[in-house]
Amino acid sequence: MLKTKSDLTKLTEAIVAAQNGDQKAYTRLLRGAALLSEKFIGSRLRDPQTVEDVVQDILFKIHRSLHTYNSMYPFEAWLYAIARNCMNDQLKKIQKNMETSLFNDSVVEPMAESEISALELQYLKNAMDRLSEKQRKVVTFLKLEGMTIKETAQKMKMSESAVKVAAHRGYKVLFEELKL
Amino acid sequence: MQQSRTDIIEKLAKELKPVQVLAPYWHLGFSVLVPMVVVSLATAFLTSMMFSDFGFSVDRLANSKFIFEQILLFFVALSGVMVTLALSRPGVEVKVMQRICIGALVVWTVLGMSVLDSFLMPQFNVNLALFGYKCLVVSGLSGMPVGIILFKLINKGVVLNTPLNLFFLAISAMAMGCFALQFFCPIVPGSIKLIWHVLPIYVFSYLSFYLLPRTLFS
Repeated sequence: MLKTKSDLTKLTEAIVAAQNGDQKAYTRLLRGAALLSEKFIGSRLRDPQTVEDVVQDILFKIHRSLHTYNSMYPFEAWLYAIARNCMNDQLKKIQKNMETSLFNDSVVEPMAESEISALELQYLKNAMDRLSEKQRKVVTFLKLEGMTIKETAQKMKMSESAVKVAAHRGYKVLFEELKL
Repeated sequence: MQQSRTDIIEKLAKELKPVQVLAPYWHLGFSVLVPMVVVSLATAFLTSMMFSDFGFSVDRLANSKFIFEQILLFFVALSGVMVTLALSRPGVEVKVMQRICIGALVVWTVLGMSVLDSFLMPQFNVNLALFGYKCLVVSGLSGMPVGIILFKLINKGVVLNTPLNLFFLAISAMAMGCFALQFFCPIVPGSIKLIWHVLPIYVFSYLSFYLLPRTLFS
């Protein structure tokens, strides 16, 4: 468990080494960051599953934002800014899902495919073609068929973490293709 | 649960490649500031040539009120640029800088329009007010390159709060556009300046905060 100032100094050293491509230091960094984030998020959210989801999101975000860390600034401030942002995103997602389910319980019909413009559909199809077979299936199950990560993992005979990694890579490709 | 996290860490570690660390935001901000001012002034000069009543006047520079207004406006643009860049760098404290930026904008609005310019309605001229749209054209076009440069720079980092980032981007771009415009704009009455110089900054920043994130990123 990370307790002392020297532990944080070690994490700062680890992130600097990770920026230079040191995989062992990066593993240490991610483990330490996960523990710190768990403590940070756990003190704000109650549901352990939500906390775990946010911690995993934080790990992905750290991976994408590694280049933004500057050793002139404290590591904790950098990590907690990411953690706070991921937590807010998760809360927004939960709120949106609640609103959607409330609407679905009443009268609102899902949007018909014909309401999406043909051009948008073509863009999406082209972008989906850029994905690997596995990524395409994962994205389709998660985003189009509304399956959970657990259900997708069972259907694809993959571990949940492998599904998350495939989805993360798939979204990255789609993000770049669709210039979002 | 724990196993899944360990798997993710291992997979991410395998994906790791050396990264090029971003320069400190203030370093980046100051390095792009001169090009931003030059581009903005050049655009204002070129666009103001479309209108016969616009032009650079040395008399304007001799006016201490004008100089003070311009300094304040430049300060708004400068702090806006810094806040915009800092907002895309996780862990950088920006609250003080945000307050300085908004404070300078409010001071410019209040001092420039009411106290220094004796904002009186009798000065209001409908014809002049209607033709003030030229100011919006010049400042909008002059602010656009600044907005584009800033947008590219913030995309190099990680945008944590899209509405807030767009809000300060709009303030800095429009303030820089207005700063450049005022060197060429002949309009003096505070009321007209309030509508066509000051108000666009508030309107565009409001739209960027509320509308853009919902339309562009929803």
